[in-house]
Amino acid sequence: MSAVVIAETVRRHITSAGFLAATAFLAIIGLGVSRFATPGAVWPSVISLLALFVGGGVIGPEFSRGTLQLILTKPVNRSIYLLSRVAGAVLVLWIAIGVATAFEMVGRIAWTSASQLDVLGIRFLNVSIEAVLMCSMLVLFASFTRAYFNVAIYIMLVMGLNVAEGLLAMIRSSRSALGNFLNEHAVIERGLAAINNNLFPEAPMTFDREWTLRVLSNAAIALVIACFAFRRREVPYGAD
Amino acid sequence: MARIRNQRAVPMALIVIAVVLLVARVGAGLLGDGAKHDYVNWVAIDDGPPMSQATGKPIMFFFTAEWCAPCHQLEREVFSDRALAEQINERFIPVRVVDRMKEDGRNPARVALLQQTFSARGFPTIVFTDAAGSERGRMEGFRDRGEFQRVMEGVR
Repeated sequence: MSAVVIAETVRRHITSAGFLAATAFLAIIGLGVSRFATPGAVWPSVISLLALFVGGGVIGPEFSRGTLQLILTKPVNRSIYLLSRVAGAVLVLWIAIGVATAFEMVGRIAWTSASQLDVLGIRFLNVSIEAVLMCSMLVLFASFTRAYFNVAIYIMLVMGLNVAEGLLAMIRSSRSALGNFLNEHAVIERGLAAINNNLFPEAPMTFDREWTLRVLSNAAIALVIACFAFRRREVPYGAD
Repeated sequence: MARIRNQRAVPMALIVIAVVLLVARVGAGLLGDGAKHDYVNWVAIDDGPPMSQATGKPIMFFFTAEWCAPCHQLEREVFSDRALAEQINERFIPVRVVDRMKEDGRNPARVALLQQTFSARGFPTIVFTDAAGSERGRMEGFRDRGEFQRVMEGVR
């Protein structure tokens, strides 16, 4: 890993107005939900949105801007550069998650005199781990696309899998010939659900060792594939 | 030339970490299934009310589904805890009601009736009732075993 690349990635984000505004927004949300919601309930969906922007900009836009071939003329290992950028993006997200969690905790102490630090702490951990997987997958898609196509692929996959699951469930309960086929071959729906659970796992409210290992191993596999794809990719001269 | 080849090398450490995590994940899955033991003495749906009448104990209906991850969490943290399971067995008639809508497209009539009677719209839902069906306690969803204990101790 390159400390310089990690530090530069973090610096670039935390000095950007957009990220500062997003973090301030998260703080306000944290104070707002501390009054009524289950501790940490909103963070998975909110942080996912932020992760799309942070993780989506790791490699793809650098291809389009033409800066990547300049970087790769230096004696820097491609995989090290890729992994360092991912590490920087994950650190940035953890900072945002930390700010959000801290403000929710302050709000809960102010409203209810109970910080519920144990619940919030677990939630912070689970959302942080989920952010690692999100960034890894976005980088995987970025390793063979450019601009922000990786974000488009990610969103299409999320929506596509959920729509497919819903459609199959509807067809199965329709008592048609296809519905009977699906009833007899439940492995089709279970397989689809397994793919969905592995690519887009929902962060649980408690610490789940199996879930944690599943997400981290999937993230590691995604990064390995991304490194192999990135090492073979030819970087053209000039911007798009 | 060696420098250009090194520029494209994939770090072995990353591959090792990925393999280790994968092995740990498979191992945790196998170990988790083996270690999970349900100490609750579940009673068939039809036997619940008569046993409740005979013993005077309230019924604990556990509405669950195979695909429900929080339900498995509840089973691991509550029903696999020997001390808690003994309390449940001692104080209640435990009845497990498994939803099969996703797998079979329909539920058995008895299951559907119970879900409708006790408004079990999500899983897990735990409902404590007397033999006549009057609700004495309820827990929807699962946060932690502490919450379950509080609800259970509140049942009279």
